[in-house]
Amino acid sequence: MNTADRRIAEVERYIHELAIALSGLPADEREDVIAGIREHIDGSLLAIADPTSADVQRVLDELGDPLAIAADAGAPAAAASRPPGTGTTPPSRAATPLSGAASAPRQDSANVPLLERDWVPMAVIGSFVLAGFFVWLGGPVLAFAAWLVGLVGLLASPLWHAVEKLFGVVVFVAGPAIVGGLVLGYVPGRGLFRDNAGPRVTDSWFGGYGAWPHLFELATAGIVVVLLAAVGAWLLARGSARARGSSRVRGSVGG
Amino acid sequence: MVPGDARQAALDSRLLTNLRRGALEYCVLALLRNGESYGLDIAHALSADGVLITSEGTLYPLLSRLRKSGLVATSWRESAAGPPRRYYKLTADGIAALAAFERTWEPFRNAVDRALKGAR
Repeated sequence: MNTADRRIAEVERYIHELAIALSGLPADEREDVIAGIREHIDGSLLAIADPTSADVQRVLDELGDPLAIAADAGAPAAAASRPPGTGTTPPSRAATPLSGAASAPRQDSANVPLLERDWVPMAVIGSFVLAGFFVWLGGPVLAFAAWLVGLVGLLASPLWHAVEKLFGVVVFVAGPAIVGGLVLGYVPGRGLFRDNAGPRVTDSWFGGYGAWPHLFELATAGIVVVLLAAVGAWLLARGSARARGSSRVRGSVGG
Repeated sequence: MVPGDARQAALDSRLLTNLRRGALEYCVLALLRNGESYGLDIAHALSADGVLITSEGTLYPLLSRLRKSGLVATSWRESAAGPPRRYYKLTADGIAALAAFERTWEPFRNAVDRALKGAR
């Protein structure tokens, strides 16, 4: 590696660390900060005739620790919300409308509507997971109750868009129905635990009775369960990102 | 450096951090009062005395916030050497925010000074 390459590698490592440290920020803000820092580094090095590795290190030292910059930018934990429209800041740490949005501690959860708080996505998806556990443990009433809580939460919370809600409802209604039908035997002639359902050999695509008599059912149920988990994880990610964003947006709207 | 000095330095630096929080963005706005400027220039102006900023990098989240809240506007400008630079300039809102800060700052500073002197 020659000197120029090493200089570039040092700069890229710094930018990379900064990007990771800023990962809690919205993408546009993150890119804004990184573009500014990059311009700063380029400009500083251009001013030096033949910058050495030590020069690069000095420029990066003057910029400071990426974590300190991220902390100042309010990433990731400091997403605060303030009373919308007041233009004032909480009397605690944040002293001004401008820096308040990013530097105030996350404390004003009272200003975020109940169904938009950051624990909502976890609670909604958690209800579906809990419903699955109750099914497994053999508690259909509790399972139904947990499933209903999840469904109502998903539909009621503004953290998900209409398309996501629709998708979630279809998957979380149809998915358990399919798995339930396959496993409990409500699909005529295909139930795993029904041995009295007529000529089964031709029923299954995978050869009916054999070493794996219900391969088709098991495989389908498995695929649906994996799909449910994937959709659950996706909805959790979208909802959580929006919950974080919503408190941050509220913070900056107030300023 | 003896341990006592180190503790004192840490305390001073924490105090400075808290004090900067309310004032730094207005210092940036004030630097732009006489015309537009670019990041590196602003960073050097602020870090010259080591009081207003210690890590130049912390300027950039601040500039981003100022732009987002409409107090500064940016434009890209070719530079004599190297890639184009982003220039920052005050908007009408920025000028108003700076004026409001100045109105508040002087009585505040004087009150703090009086309190500190009176407490001796």
